Amino acid sequence: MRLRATIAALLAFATGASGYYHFIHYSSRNGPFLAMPEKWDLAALPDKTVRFFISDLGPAQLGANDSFTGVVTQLRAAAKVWNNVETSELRLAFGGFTPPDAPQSSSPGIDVLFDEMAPGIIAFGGPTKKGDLTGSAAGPFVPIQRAVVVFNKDLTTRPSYSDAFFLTAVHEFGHALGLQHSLTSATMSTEITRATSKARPLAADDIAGLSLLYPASSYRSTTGSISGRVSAEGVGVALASVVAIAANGPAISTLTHPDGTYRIDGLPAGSYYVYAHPLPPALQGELSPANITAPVDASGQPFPFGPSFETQFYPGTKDWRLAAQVPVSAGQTVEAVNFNVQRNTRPAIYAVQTYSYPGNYSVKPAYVNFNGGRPLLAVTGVGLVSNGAPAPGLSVSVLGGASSIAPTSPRPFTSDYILLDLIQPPGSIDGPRHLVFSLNNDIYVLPQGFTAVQAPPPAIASVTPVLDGSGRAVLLASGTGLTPDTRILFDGLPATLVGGTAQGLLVIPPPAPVGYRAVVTAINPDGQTSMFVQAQAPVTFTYDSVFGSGDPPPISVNPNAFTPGTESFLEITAAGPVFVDGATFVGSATSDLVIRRAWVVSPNRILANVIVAADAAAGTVPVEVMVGFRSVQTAPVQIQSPGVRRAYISAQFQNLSVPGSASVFPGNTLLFNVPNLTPAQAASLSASIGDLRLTPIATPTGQIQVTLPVLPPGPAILRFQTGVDAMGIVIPIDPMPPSIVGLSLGSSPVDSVRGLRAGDVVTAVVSDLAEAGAAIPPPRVHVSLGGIEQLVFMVSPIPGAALHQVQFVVGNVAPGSYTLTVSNDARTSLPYPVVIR
Amino acid sequence: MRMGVMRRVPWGVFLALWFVVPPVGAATLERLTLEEMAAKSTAIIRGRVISLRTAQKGPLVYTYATVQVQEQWKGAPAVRLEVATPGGKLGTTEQHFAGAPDLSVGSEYLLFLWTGKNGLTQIIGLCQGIFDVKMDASGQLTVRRAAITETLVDPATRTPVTDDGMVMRLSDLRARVSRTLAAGGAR
Repeated sequence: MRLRATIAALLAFATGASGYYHFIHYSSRNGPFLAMPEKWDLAALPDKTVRFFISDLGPAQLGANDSFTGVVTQLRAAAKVWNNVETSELRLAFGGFTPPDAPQSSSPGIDVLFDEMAPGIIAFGGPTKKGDLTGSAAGPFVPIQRAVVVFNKDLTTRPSYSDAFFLTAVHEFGHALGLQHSLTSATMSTEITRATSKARPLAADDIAGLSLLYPASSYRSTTGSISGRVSAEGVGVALASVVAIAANGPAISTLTHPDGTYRIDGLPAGSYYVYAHPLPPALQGELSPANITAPVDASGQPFPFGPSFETQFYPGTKDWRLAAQVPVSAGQTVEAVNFNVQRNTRPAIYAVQTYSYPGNYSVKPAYVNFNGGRPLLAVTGVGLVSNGAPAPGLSVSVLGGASSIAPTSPRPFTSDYILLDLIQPPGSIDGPRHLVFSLNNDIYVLPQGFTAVQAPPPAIASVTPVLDGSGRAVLLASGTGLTPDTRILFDGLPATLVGGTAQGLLVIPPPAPVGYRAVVTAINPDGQTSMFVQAQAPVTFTYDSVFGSGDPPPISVNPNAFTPGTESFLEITAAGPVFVDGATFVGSATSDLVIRRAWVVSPNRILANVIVAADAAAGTVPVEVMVGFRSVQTAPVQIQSPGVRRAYISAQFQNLSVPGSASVFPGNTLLFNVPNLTPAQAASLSASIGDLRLTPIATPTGQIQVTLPVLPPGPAILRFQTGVDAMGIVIPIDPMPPSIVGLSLGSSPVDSVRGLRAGDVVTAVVSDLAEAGAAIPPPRVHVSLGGIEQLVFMVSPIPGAALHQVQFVVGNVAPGSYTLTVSNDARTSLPYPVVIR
Repeated sequence: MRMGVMRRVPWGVFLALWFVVPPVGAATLERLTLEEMAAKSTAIIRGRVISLRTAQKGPLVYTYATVQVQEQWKGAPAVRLEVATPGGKLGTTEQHFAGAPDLSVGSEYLLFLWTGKNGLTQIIGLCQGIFDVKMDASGQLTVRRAAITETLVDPATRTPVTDDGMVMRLSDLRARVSRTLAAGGAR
């Protein structure tokens, strides 16, 4: 009863949106059906970041050239894939290593384990601890409080440097974040139809799946939706898959509710074919179709899967050439995209897999090089082959027609496989190609059946030490298909590209100890990696004394004791130079003590902010430091028993000078929450940053306001002192941003009366856009007016000052008040108000 | 040799395609043939579940099913075996991992089992090594498992058999496993 009341209260502010497929709960067995997913509660996560902790009992068996350190770097790289989804607010970060005897933490986090598993099991993952139904502005949800990713202890057949291990890790992390399987060839598809690669590890469907659970503020307004119903003889079909798919573009899917209704959210603006298909029968190793966990009602009872039916495109056709393309606009929903389907006993075709031949071996995912490669696919799947030949009546086409199937195809290959010969008309763009199979009055659509490219995969022939033009020792990665846009990985860490020659790319490898051997992989922007052709004999590099380091110096941590339920900072000092900015990780063994962010101040000094969980277990916790592949000696700190509630500075401050900004600039005024601070303490508070004294102001709401002096960029320690109690936090001071000094039309300044109009040629004078006198190519400068990019045609320095003139043309912008920003690479100006008349 | 996502087949060597055995999902699994399961298992039994218990193992809950052995095709003879599967309910904690089977008390199964160095006995391939045992209308015991994508050929007729789930007589499966073990699969 209480649960029902809670649900009713939460339904009151729910949006009712769905899309993709998550672990779903419904409030009752009768409609209307509001999907309540399982997901992490962002309000309960420091910095909206879920951290994962790797058991330091690593794999017991490893393949050739593999190492536990290599495994760790690949896991961190896999997590980074999800962390980098900008349309999601959830962040995913490595927390540290967990010793085998560590107590189970109740703080939010993901445990990554290596366990002895029976043959045939590679990995599994998902939530392990959930809370009671709760809600947010996005609607009701079941909070995930803890999750696990478990790998087989024996990694001999799936070494960590293989694309397969990497994608498995990305996939299992996806489960831990609340994503189920989909059937659109994404990373969250099963390996049967997955078509992602290490170079492009996420498909649009994966990004939509995560972003719908944890939407960034602008996500829903910048994407559109399609809704409708799938029914058979008037009865809604439960758990049918509905896919919006753009010819040569992305595919995003959802499953229908128990009453057959559906809604696909998260669609980028564009035109989409829409098709409905049944979930395929469960395969070996699956207890349900694609091992999808059915939604449950309030009492935990699962809803049944709907019947099988004949796949069809909207509106009611099995021929994509007769299908409508549904236009989707940002912020809009296209409704009534309905399907009336015909039941059948089972799909004629399912579980289709495609392989291409970039070298001497077949590769999945299939990438077909139409510029000198073999334009064919080997294809297998249930229903495709009969007596060693294509099933009678089988036909195959490419959705949208950017590529096509040769008239001689499909043709026999083996007892399980057929061959498809492919044709690419001149002028066709590269990208994903979706295959449509037709047999026995049924169709099967395979999103991204292959990807059309114009180059072979990259391949590394050798990695050799050389001296660059300045006499610096670097590595020359030579081979084929390497371009200035190629990324070179050493195990899971990127090398720094410092140049190129006719022989290859010059890189600086990540830090490592002498003797460390890393597998070197090349990753190209077209989605191909060197593992397509070199997985069985990858190139390795062993660090010598030129590129590797000896034993790291000892480190110390100060302070070395922390109180539960507080935030603080710590300082790590090494007896010698060891820390490298951009390559240094600081963590702890438990989510009870979280390193929120760390800054390498110098080669032997790190500053970090930490947060200690309110229910943290008392005891010793190691602070762990890794520099590249190099583990630095850990230093223990103490989590004290909960005692007197001590005041502390929360790192979640407001910048009153630049509202909404996460950046802090010299001279800004900041407002801090100081939990547990008594009024008496507030009255006697003193403050400093670095060596400079500040004047703190206690606000009526108990917050503390300080105005920063002019400081050099970089991390600075802010301290509050009251009596004997001292508290501190690290504040990152950013360099002064560019600033728009003024706008002019010809020689006339722009005022708010005249404002700007479409077609105006405007000159903006901007400070600190670059070094004084520096020339900036116009394509690097971006002018945004109300979020709309404007045409920049000239950028010129003003002699004698760090000022630049940026000339741009005002586009078609509706009349109104807007903010204008000017950016150069990652440096964006403060907003400047303008009026469009 | 299985290569996971990046599976490789020598160009033109058609027979090698037989070694392209796809993994399955949820859980990331490597699909095993019956012969491979027979070869890799440490015990193959037919038995009835007589009790279930759950216990914590690190952050994971495992369900332990005690199985009364009715028939044993491989492994050290046993009257009862305890089989562990990930997931289950322990107090207020309930864990479920897609692909992990739920064994139920009173049900009869054919199980391909594997015991590791840690002493834990698990089902091969998560749910690949578990078959429901039922009696058909003619009184014959049959075994059933979800469909497989690989082509199965009837050894007698040399024609492909249905892949709509694996349903076969227990006696036929027993004979097939027996042939595999006799051919060296027991090593």
